[in-house]
Formats: sequence, structure tokens, C-alpha cells
Amino acid sequence: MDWGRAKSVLIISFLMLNVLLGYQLWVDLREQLNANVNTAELPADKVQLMNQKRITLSASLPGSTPQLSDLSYLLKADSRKLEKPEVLEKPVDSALIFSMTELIRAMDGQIPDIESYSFDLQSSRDGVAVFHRMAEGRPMFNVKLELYYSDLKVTGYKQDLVDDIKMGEAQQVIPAAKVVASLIETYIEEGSEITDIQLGYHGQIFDSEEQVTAPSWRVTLEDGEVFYVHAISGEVTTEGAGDEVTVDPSGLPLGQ
Amino acid sequence: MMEKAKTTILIVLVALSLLQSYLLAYSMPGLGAAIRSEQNYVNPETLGTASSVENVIFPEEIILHKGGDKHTVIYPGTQFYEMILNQRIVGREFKGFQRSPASILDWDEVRKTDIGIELRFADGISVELLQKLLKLEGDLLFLNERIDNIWILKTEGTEEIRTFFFSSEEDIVYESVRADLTVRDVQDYVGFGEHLPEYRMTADGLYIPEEPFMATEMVFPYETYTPEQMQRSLFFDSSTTRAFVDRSGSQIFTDGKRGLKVEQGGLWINYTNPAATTSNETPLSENVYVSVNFINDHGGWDGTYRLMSASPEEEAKYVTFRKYIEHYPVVDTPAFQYGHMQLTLQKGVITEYARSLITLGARSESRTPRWLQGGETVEDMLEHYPRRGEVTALFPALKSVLLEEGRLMFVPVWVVRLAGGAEEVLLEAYPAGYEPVKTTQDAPDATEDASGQPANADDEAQTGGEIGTAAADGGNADGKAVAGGVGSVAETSESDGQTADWTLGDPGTFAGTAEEEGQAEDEHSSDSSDPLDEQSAEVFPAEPNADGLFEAFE
Repeated sequence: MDWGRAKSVLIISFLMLNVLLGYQLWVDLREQLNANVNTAELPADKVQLMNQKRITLSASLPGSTPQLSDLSYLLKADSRKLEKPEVLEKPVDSALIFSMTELIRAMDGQIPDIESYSFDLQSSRDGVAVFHRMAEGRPMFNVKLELYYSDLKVTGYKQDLVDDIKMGEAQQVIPAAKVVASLIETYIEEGSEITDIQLGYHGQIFDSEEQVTAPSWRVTLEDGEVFYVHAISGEVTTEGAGDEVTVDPSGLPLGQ
Repeated sequence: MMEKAKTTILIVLVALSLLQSYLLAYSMPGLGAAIRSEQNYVNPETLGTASSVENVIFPEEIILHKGGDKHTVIYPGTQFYEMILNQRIVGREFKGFQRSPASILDWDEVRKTDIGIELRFADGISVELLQKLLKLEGDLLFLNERIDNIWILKTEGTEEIRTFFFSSEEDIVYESVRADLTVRDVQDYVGFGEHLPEYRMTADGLYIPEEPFMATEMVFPYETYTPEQMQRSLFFDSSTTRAFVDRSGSQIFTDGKRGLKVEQGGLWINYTNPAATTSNETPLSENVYVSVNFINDHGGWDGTYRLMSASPEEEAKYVTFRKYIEHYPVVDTPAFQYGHMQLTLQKGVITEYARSLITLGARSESRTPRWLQGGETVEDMLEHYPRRGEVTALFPALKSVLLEEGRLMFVPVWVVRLAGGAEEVLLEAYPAGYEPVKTTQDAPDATEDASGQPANADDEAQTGGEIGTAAADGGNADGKAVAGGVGSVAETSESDGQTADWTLGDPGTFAGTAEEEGQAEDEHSSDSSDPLDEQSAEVFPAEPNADGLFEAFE
């Protein structure tokens, strides 16, 4: 037997096998990479549907799909239970809301934990500047700090104060493009304009100290309508729906 | 040298191919996900039994107009209700609907003089859903209508049958000009009511029985679903669900989006799943289908439920099913919620689901006859009821009371429904063991017969024997029915408070079958009723009229 020749044959066949396996691996790898690259773009059919429904997208689609986990936290103070905003003893200049560092300095400890909040233009309305509590660098949409201003002075505030934020098991979030695509398909009315897309945390608020909030994409429309899309499961909620557990308004059962 | 190089290359190639194979096998993105999803996919545990839309649509009550301003009300689940609705009317066809103003007939006059039958659906039901119960064929205008009353009548003096469907929204009636109902049918229906208790009508259309009638207080054992069972059924991935306790002490499960609140110490749940409003339009009746399916998948139905009618605005948002036990709906109190399931929907998507975790046992543990007030008593109560002006309906119901050791008691009560849908207990049935004294307005032959045994009858009333006599009353009618070949009647009669009480107060009906019925009734009847039964069996012959009643439907 010619051992040398046998080796040559084996080398050739293993070379071919390696090429085959290598190609397969490369294809898989490319698919994985592509999945992340393409997320920044909407699929062509959705773009077409968007045009049909005259929906415009003036916000940029975030391309990142980080691993996020749901958060549990303790709600120490609930602004929903306040009827009137708390009065600031030393009103500060309302122009400062755009500059966090100066605002913190000006507030001079009048509002506890203010450095953990971050201004959100989308949620703000006339006379009220809304800040969200940040967790892991992302806003918690349910946890707000509202600054009430008039005559260029911030005079009062309502604050949700949270503590003890704990994280669960992290999972990769679905890309923003997918979220927008599904919203365009079923939820967004014709002629709307998407003005903002942001990743943060959103959840149902219960009448309890302990709360849970899940990673969610917030999609804001020009007319102020807000959609929250669960960033793991893709389920859609609108602003206001389920913020407060409401029970049985229909007159049933007896005496209700 | 060459050979050595070849050997090295070969070894490297073999090692490389092994490595690549390993990478391919264990880092294939699809493979990993497939394994995961298999683990995550849990078949929702099927709890309870499934039902369908057909089973939850039936009229709240049937009113028989017997002519001469005599009326009778029949409640769901009773023998005559079944016979009239499910064995007869359901099989008929109603076609050719003509729209007319409601003033086409003088309904007060019709109610008094013409024999007829009314099927009532409190706040109305859409024709689309009504088609699940009745065979209806009409134009689009009619099909989009909501109906709160169906009146089938025979006009006085003619042999003509007219069928009217009342719109709940406008003063409009639809007359079915091609309904395959005959004069004989209507006479039959009304004939069933011949010996049932009389009801009088108040000025605003509430029906009050002339005499007290017997209902049954029942105690049922129950089982409950555990909150964890509901959690597994309602959440996709129970592994990411957190549980904690809220300020009111309720247990809460949530995955950040959905919430499940377990109240009343694990007996009531309130599930919330906020959803976005979609831009697509869904027909209102779709909500009902979606709700029935949702309940089938998440908890199921323990017994009979009726779709509560609601105003159109409410119907767009809420679907409520109310539990019926035997003939009466169950009412509850804010402190102890039981007996209904309510779903909140947004265009066909369930956002809230409130129900009890209790599953009643199949058989009641004990049954005690309780008399529901009639005549003046109810009228007086109504008159003194502070919100009299808002009362839209009066009906007997069962109030649920939670007992210890996993048992529920149901107490017969009169309930008023107020404008706006709120309901309140007007008054509770007479205490157990009390039998109202009969004001004899019945057939003269009955009073005559009774006079033969006055002392006896009074004695019985005071010693608690009245229950036995009541059973005997029912027993008589049932006994005849059995003779007539309706085998199941005797068995159900004892639970059938109405069948039993409707013949009450007619001593002439004490008959031979009383004894057997007295035994079927529980221990209450055993000691005191037997002598009377024997006596009455001897003294009073079977009443021919009662026989005629059952002949009517043979």
C-alpha cells in the first residue's frame, strides 16, 4: 500500500470538507451580521405601505438592539396621588430645564434625587416640563418628575420617587424597525407622522410599592399619541391604557 | 520530509474540520432558538369547560299574557321556560320584517286583553347575536337593530298571530309578517301558564307576583383554581413573571405589561393587559365571540351563564356574563364578588378580565325552602324604596354568601335594577321555616276543600310542616307529569322551586304523590308532613284542572 498517496487523497478530501464547512459557517455568520445591520432599515413592503397610508417618519430609526432586562423597583412616592404640585420655596428660572447641570445647581437640593432624571421634550406640555427617571441610561417612562412653570419660573413639581431598582435576566430587544413596521401595519392612522422613537422602560402601575417595568420602545406621533411596544414580546400599548388598574365600572355587581 | 509535511497537514485539516463541525453544530443561531422555543412553549392548561355563544344567549324572562289582565312570569331554566323557548319557539322561523312606529298598537290594551307571550332582553341585544337563538331573516336595517323585547300575540276576536320585535333604541317595532306560528302555538304557550302564579303589573311595567312563592336557599361546596394556575393560563412566559403584594393585600403577578391581581384571599382575579387601539373597525358582536373564546381558554365556565345585555356604548367596551343557578341569576356584594365574569375590550382585544376562581360543586350540599314575598309586601317595599323612580326591573335572584370551609350559600332575594344598570337587593326572602299565610284568591273549589281541614292546615303551618306541604304541592303536579310520561320531572321538581310553589296554596292539589315528593325534599319535610300527606291524599281528589294543564303539552 502506498501510504504517501493515501495521505494525499485524505488531505484533498479533508481540504474539501473544510472548505464546505467553512462556507457554511461563513453563511451563518453573515446572516447573523445582516440581521443586525438591516434593522436600521424598514423592509421595502412596509415603506410602500407607509407611502400608501401617507405616514411619514421624521425620527431616525435607532439601529441598536441591546440586551435589556425588566426592572423591578420600589415606588416610594407616587405623583398620581398628588392633587396639586408641591411648591418650590425658591423658584428657579424655567430656561434651565434644558441644561441639567445648571438646573441641578439652581435647584439646590429642593427636589430629591433630581440628578437621576432627564428631560423629555416629547412628554412635556405647555407649562409642564416632564423628566423621566433614568435607569441604566434609559428612561423609565412611568416614573416622572414634572416641573410646573409659569412666567419663566419653575414654581412647583410632582415627583415619582423610586428606589432599589433591580434587574432581571437580560434579553435582546427587538429592533426599532420591526416595531415601526408593525405599528404602521395595524395601529397608526393614515396621515400620521412619527416624530420620536426611544427605547426605555414601561409597565403597568399597581397600587403597591413594588412595581415592575419592562423594556419598551416608545413611539410618539406628531399629534401626541404615544405607543409603547414591549421590546421583547412586541406587544403594543397606548399611553394611558392600563396606567392605573381600573375595575368594573359597569354597575355590576351590586352597589357598584 | 515530504511525508512528514503531509502528515502535519492532514492532522491540521482533521482538527480544523472537527472544530468547524463543532462550531456549526453549537453556534447555529436557528438551532439554539428552536430548542428554547420548545421549552418555552407550554400548552395553556385548560381549566373548566368550554362553552359557545349559543349557550349564553337567552331571554331574561318570559311573560305570559293570559288575557283578562292576567299575567305570569317564567324564569330561565324552569320547566315551562324550556318547553316554550327551547322546544318550540327556537324551532320557528321569523321572516319578512316590516318596520312600523311603536304606536301601531296600544300595547297597554294588548297586554290586558290579548293572549300572548313576551321574551324580554333587558337592555337589548343585537339581532346578529339574537340569530344565535332564533331563526331570523330580515333586511339590513333589521339586522343592524337591537331588540329588547319580542312579543307574540293573538289578537282578540280574530284568529291572527302577530309577532313584534321591539327596538331598544327607537320607538320602532318590527313585525314579522311571515312567522310560522299558529294560533294553536300561542294558545299552547299561554296554556302552560294557566296554573302558574298570577303576577300583577305596576304602572311602570314591573311584574309582582300576587302571592309569595317558594325559592330555595342552597349551600354548595366549591373548589378554586389556584392563582398560579390562572397565572400559567394567562401569561405567555411564566418564568419572567414577578409576584408581589399590593397595598390592599392583593397578590399581584406581572411581567411588566400584563397584570394579574388576586383579590378576596384568592377567590377573585382581575387581569389587565393594556392594548393599543387599532385603526380597524370590529363589529360589536365580535366582542362577544372574542370574550367567549377567551373564557374558554382561560378558566372556562362552571355552569350556566347569560350574556348580560348592555347599552350600545357599554357593549363597545364591556362584555359581562352572569351566572345562573337553577332559575335565578346570582348577585353579589362589593365585599364579596362572585357570579359574573366581566371582560373589557378594545376593538376585539381583551384588556381586562375579572372573574371568580371558584368552581361550584355539581351538587348542592343542602337545600332549604325560602319563600319569596309577593303581592302587597313587595309593593310596599317598592313604594318605600328611596330610589323608586329609577327602578327599571324587579326580579328574583340569589345572593351569594361566603361560608367557612369552602362553601357558598345562595339566599333568594328580590333585586331591583336601577337606571344605569346598578342593582340592589330590595328584600330577602322570608326566613327559613316561615310560610306566609295564604290569602285565598284562588279557584273557589280550592277554598271549599281547604275548609274541611282548617285546624290541621294551621297546625302544619306553625310546626314548620309547610315545607312538606309545599313539596306535596309540587309533588302533585309532578306526579301527574310523570304519569304523562315526562320521566325527569319528578327528579328535578324538588330543585325546581317554581314548579313546586306555583301550585302552592291550592289545597286541592294535595294528592297521592305527595309522600314520595316529601321524601325527595330533604329532612325538613320528614316528620311533620307525612300525616298531612296521607290525609290530604284521602280527602282531596286530584284536581282535574291540573291534569288539563299537562294535557296541553302532551
